[in-house]
Amino acid sequence: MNVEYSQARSLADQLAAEVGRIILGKDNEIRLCLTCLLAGGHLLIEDVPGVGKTLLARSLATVLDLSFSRIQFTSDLMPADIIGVSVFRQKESDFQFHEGPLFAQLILADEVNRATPKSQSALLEAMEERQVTIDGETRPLNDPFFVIATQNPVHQIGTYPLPESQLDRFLMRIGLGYPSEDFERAILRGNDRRVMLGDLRPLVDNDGLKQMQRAAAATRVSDALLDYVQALVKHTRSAPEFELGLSPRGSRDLVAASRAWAFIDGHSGVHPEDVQAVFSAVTAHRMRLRADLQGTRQDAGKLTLDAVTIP
Amino acid sequence: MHLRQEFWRMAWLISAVLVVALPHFQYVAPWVAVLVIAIAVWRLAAAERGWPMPRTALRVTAVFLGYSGIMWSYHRVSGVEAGSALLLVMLAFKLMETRSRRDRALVAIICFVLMFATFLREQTIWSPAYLLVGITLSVCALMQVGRFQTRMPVMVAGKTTLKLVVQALPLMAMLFVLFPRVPGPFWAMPVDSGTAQTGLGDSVSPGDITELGRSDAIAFRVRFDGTVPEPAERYWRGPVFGYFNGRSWSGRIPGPGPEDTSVLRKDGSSYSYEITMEPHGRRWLLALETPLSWDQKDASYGPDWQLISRKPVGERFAYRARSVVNGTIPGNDSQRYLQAMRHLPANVNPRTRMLARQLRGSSRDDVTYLRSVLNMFREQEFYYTLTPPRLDDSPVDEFLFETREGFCEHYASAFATLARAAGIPSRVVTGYLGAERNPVGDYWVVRQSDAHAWTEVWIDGDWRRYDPTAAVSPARIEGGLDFAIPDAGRSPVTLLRRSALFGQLALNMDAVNAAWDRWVLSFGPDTQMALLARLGISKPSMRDLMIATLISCGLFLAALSWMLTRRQPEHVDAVLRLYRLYCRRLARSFRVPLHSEGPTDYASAAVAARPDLGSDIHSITNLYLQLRYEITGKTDDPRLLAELRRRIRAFRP
Repeated sequence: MNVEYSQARSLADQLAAEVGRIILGKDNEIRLCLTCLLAGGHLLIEDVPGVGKTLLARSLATVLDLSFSRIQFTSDLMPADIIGVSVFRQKESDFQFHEGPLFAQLILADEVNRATPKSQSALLEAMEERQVTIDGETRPLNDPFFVIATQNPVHQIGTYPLPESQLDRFLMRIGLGYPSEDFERAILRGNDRRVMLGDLRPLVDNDGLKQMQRAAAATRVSDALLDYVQALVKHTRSAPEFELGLSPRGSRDLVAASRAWAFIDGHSGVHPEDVQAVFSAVTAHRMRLRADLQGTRQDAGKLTLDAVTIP
Repeated sequence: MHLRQEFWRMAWLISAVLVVALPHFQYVAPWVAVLVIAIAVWRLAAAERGWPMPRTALRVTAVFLGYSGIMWSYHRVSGVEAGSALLLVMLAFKLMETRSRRDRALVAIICFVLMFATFLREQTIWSPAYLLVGITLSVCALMQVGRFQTRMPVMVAGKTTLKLVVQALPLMAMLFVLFPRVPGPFWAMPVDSGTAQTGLGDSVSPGDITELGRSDAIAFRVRFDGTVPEPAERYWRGPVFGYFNGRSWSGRIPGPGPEDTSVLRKDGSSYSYEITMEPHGRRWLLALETPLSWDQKDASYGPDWQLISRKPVGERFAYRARSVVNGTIPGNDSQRYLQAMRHLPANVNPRTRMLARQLRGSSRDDVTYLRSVLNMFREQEFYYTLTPPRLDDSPVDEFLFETREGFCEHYASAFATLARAAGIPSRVVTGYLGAERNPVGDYWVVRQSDAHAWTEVWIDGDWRRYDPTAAVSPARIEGGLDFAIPDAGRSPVTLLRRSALFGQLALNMDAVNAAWDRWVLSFGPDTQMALLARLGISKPSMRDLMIATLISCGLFLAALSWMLTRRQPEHVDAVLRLYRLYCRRLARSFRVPLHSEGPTDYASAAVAARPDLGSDIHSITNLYLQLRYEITGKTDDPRLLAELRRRIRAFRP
């Protein structure tokens, strides 16, 4: 299935609509997921259990025709449980590598903050490198390779919060939140979501997805827009509200995500609104507000957007 | 979290309040200071703990009680004393209901008023320096309360304040030079009668000058033109006391002075100099004996040829004078006066009189007699000390025959008594002897510790100066008090001043203060006119000055804002200029875009408000987005730009 550029955009809309049939009332979050995926980044969903994190991941895997595996992170999870192990075969008297769940295309790393830092870093390194080295042998991971990690809000008991350096590897962090009353009623009335999941059909194959990713990355970025991005970044680094501003990786990711969003929105160039749409999701987990502002329900992203003038 | 914000905001505000209130504390009734501090501390604790503010009834009662307290302490609410006390009390009560941003801003602004009130009392250079700290804190506090959510870090707030203050400085200088001056200090307030001021008194008894001798306060400062008198010539002649009751000496009621100045002897060294007198609340102006001419219309000769002002010296006062020093004052006094100058009260100091008869009997004439008295002081065991023993009923007797320890007034009094006992008219003169040079400011300082008493004796129709202290302690005359008397009895401040390091520091500080007086405080109407005349503006009226002030301040502000706004030249290209024109036009029936509002969001909001403009808005927005965000690099599409221009020019909602 070779998709044309113009088709790619309508396909993105279709994808969003299809997933939106399962996950009701979360159109913006679904769009952000798709954006993240099209920008080739990984996604961190931070929310309480039961709001549909797994369902979202599975739906995406299905409509995008990606092989799916799920890793439940627990405190006794070992790196080998993620990557795989070499097993000695007596008959051939050699080692054979048994691939772990990491060798899938869409990985749901559930409750990633419940595992020990050692296991966490095994996953996070693989995310960054897109390959693993076992027994001196480098094995590339699948392409596309997309990790959706979920984590409980950090202040729950028995969790190892991800350090900033690791958080930076996720392109976006989003929360799902509870559905509104109307949508919750619709969920309660409708069929079991897991049954509906079985009805989903793939809309695009791997090549098509890669083509969409390339098309998204080619979305134009004008100087005027880069001025805006840099003004935003500068604000996070200089404004007194921030203890930790946005890194260059952060600003690079912001542009990549803005491109993907603009692509889904059907713009041939990135508009300021596209940057604003992804800004909080891309940046909020990479910055740190000053200690006395944390917990004031101030969204670092929104604070910045409100403060910076569009040039 | 909210509490922390609240706490920090209050902490800024309250530190500003305390800093500006502090200079007032030394003047207001003690309970006012205690009240302000207590409420400030309570308010800070309340901000930290989240305590509720008092109820309305309590606050109304507090205000009523505060007002009554002021009435009780001052019997009025106007005037500097009562007014600033009332302001302080009400500011403290305002803290009890400070909750909103508006309240906090009000408190910060009242701080500025309080700072102004400080100048009603304090005009040394340290008060503006201190108040600069107060201004900085208040501006910082004002900035903090202006922020809704977040606290400004100290560095940022400090930097911004500094910027503001520096920008205000030229304005301040302009107002200082140009603002119309009224004669005398603008806030000429009557000197409060209760305030004790150090200085020479209306009478002198044993111990009075001794008391002054311990004081380090400055009496006046002198600048000599050219020659500086020798140490032994530095007699600054003040009140003259001729009436003696056996213990204390008092003077004539100051009346008009002698008119015939031809009797003045003009021989001897003459000096001209400028004196800046510290306020002392009395009428005499010090001058080297004997003043010949001076530049103040308000000054005239007193009855004893000393310089007298028409009204009490209530504020710092500068005058120029010329004097000769020859130890002789014209004696054109009436016989009645001379008779009084020979009078000694009966039954007091009998042994002194006996001694006088004895000595006079063995002397050839009056002058030899006086010399033998001085010789007695010189040769017998008399001591010059700052800690003389107390003297009782017949002080001169006790001093001459028992204690034999005294300060200058003891010797002057004893000498005059001895002269009178021998039938020679004599009187006690008080004033200052000496001057200490401040090399930093090149002027001379005369302190209260230089206060001195000597005598004048009627010899051959003139009053001749006799200083018995010179017989006892020649060092006092030649080297000053510091030289003559060991440290015992001196105040710790004096001792500190005499140490090398602090001495230098004190000299520097005094020089700064003197320059401040000379260049800033004494800038009155005359100096202002002189300065403006030098700038080419002669004799401007008050109205002219007002207009000049307004114009120059206006020009300065305009220049400043022009400089500040054009500092960052913004690159505005054609597309953006067109878009801004469109925004302005749309603003006529809608609004301008918010600063963080993108074009699409703005368009949606505009269309929602003005659906009739929908198609125009959409097409313009699309063209703009294409031109500005979708065409990269230098390939500006002239066709699209022309289209955008055409549409925006036609766009007239």
